[in-house]
This record gives sequence, C-alpha cells and structure tokens, in this order.
Amino acid sequence: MTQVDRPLFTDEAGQRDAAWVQAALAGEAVAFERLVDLYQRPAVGSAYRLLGNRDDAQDIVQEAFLRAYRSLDRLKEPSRFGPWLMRIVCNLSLNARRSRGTRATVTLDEKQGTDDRSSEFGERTGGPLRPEQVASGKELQEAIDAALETLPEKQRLSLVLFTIEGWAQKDIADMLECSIENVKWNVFQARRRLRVQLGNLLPG
Amino acid sequence: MIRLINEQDEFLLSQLLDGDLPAEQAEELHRRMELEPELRQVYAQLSEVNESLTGRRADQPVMQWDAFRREIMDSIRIESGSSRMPRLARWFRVGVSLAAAASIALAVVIYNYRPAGEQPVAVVAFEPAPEQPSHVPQEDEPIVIFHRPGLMANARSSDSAQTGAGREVSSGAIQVSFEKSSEITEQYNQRDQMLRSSPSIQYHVGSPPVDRPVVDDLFAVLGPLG
Repeated sequence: MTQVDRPLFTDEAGQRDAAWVQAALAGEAVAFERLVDLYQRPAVGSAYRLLGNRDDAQDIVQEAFLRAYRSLDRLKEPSRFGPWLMRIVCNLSLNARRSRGTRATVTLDEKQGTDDRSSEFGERTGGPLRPEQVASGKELQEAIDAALETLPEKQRLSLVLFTIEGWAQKDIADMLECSIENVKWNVFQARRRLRVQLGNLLPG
Repeated sequence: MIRLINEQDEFLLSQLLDGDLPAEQAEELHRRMELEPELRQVYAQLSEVNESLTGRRADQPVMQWDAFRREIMDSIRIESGSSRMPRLARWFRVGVSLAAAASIALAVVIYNYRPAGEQPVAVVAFEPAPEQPSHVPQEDEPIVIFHRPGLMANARSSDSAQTGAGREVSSGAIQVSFEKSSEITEQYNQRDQMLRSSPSIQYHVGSPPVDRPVVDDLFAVLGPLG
C-alpha cells in the first residue's frame, strides 16, 4: 500500500477512475492500463498479506484484473472501480486460502483455550500461549502469525488491511461493503483475540 | 495474569490506539488509566500487538511493477483478441506440460506393445454407441475421441457417429482431439483454446488391447484440461 493510512478511494479518485473506466469501455486499452498501474501495488500488497506468498499474490491480482476487465461493462458505479477491484482481490485471496487449506476452520463450537474471558462474550479464542513458547522478537512474530490464522475471516481481513497494510478504515469499509463502525469493531475484536491468545507474552 | 476489563472499555482503548476517540474522551480515558492498572495493562498489551503488526508494513513484496503491469495487459489483450481466453493459471500451465509429457510416454508404451499380425479388439467409447453397421477400421485409421466423460452430455449423437465413439478398434491410432465439439460450454471452450490450437495427441492402439482403463488413463492425463 503506497498511501498508508490515507484514504485511497476519495471522491476525486472516484471521478478519475470513472473516466478511465468509461474510456476503457470505449476501447482505449491505455485507460485500463492506467487503472492497472494505479491499483497493482495495493492489490498485490493486500493479496500478499492474505496469502503470505508473492507468486500466489501475483496470480490472484492478475486474475482479479482480468475478471474486472471482463465485467467492466457490468460495473454499475464506475467511480467505485477501486473498492470493487479490491473486493475481487480479497475474495479471490480468501478463496485461495480456503482451497489450499492453510486456514484452520473456525467455528463457534471449537474452543481451543481455557481462558474464561473467551466465553464471556460467546466468542472463541485460542488460549494464552505459555511463556516458554515465546521469548521475544522473531518468536513473538511467529506467535502472532499463528494467532492470526485462528481469527475469523472478516476480523483477520480487517486487521490485516488496516493495521499491517495501512488501508484507511473508510476504504476497508468500501471494500468489504460494510460500515466504518463495523470495520473498527472487527479490528478491535481481532486485536482482543490476539491479546488474549498471546497472554503472558505481552507486557503485564 | 491478565486482568479482566470491560469489553466496552477495551473497545475504547482500541479506538484510542487508532486515534479515533474525540479529544475529550481520550483525555478521560488517560485519566482513568492512571487510576486503573488493569486498563493500563490492557492498553500496553494492545499497543504491543499493534506495533508488532504495523512493524510489518516495511515487508513488501519486491516486484518489477512495469513488467507486472505489462504481463497483466498482455493477458488482457489475449483475452480481448481471442474470444475471451482466460489467463491460464499456474496449475493449468503445469498441468498442460505434464499432460503433454505423460501423453508422449503413454504413446510410446502403447506403440511398443503393438504386435505383428495380431488384431486385438478394444472398445474406446464411454457411451453406448448408436446403432450403426459394424465397422472394421483399417490399419492405422485414426479414431477420434473428443469428449471426456463429464462432457458426454454435451455431445450430439451426430458427433458420436462422426467421431467413431463406440467403434471396436482392432488397431490403429486413437486421436484425442478437442476440435470438433460444437456444443460444449463456453467455459470449456475457453480452457480448450490452447489445446485446440495445438496438434492433436495421437495414441497408437495395439496389443494389449486399449481397454477402458487405458482410455480412462488417457482422460486422467487430460483431466485438468476440462
């Protein structure tokens, strides 16, 4: 993501994108190429965060642009090209994750941890990691990676896009077709689950 | 031991972390943290988690962006220039290579078993053949099979006759071709594009007879293409 914490999907950007979409529909390949040039970085960045692999991310993004190109004439609001494309990228990435089975299935019935607070709000969280499991630095990062994998999809997506990839909350809301409040809540819930799972490894 | 705090308070701490709280509310929360160690502790933990995650922003994939953009545009040009051919996924490209290699190996094996003067019989169709006069193929006469089992429903009966499905084959060549089906789905057409532009794959029939398991193998090799 090149514009960390600043909304990418502004009104001005929407007008510009709409013009390029219309031009592309009129047969100007260079207009679509401008869209590719503009969105390839954030698209690859987000797919990379979700898939953890650059080659997979490239494949997903290329497929996403192709799908966008094929469906361009069905895009009802050309000014919404950016969120629409990123939604395709996210969906394809999540599908790829599911198909390769890297993500543990999370259900409300599963309860990995013993922390009573996880049941306080009817949620599933992993249990706190034991202190000997993680010392610091790299090991803490690995523990966070493992904990991230256990998050419900939407929470993980929101946290990754917002905290790691640096998307603005408004942009994430546009991508996921939900409210900004919903994004904030998902980010919070994700952080909270990570905090609980990492338990004693964090300052206390 | 992590102390329990109210979920609403933790949500406020999360918002404070993101700078989303109005100044007045943020000040109030800071005042509370001075008095409530539990709040302070949770805020410190949330901050630690957050810093660990934001620290990863610098870890970006190294890319040749111009080359990647050109690759995307090339695939789009192919798409728009050849009846919407989709970009071939990596697994598909690998699958095509493997299928080609396996096909050659299979052809060599079958061809080497070809006997002198022996006329084995093999049924190469998956579908009951339409009533037709018994056909005795000539030596090396190609028998064309273009449809895979999953696509049989899309084949016309005339296609079956045309392609010789259900014929008994004594010897000759089985040609697996994807060129002649007229009623296959659009999706199949797209995936089939590369194969249709390539020479057909020839399988020589000899002894032992090319029976159904062998033909199944052929389609297993070609499986990903459908």
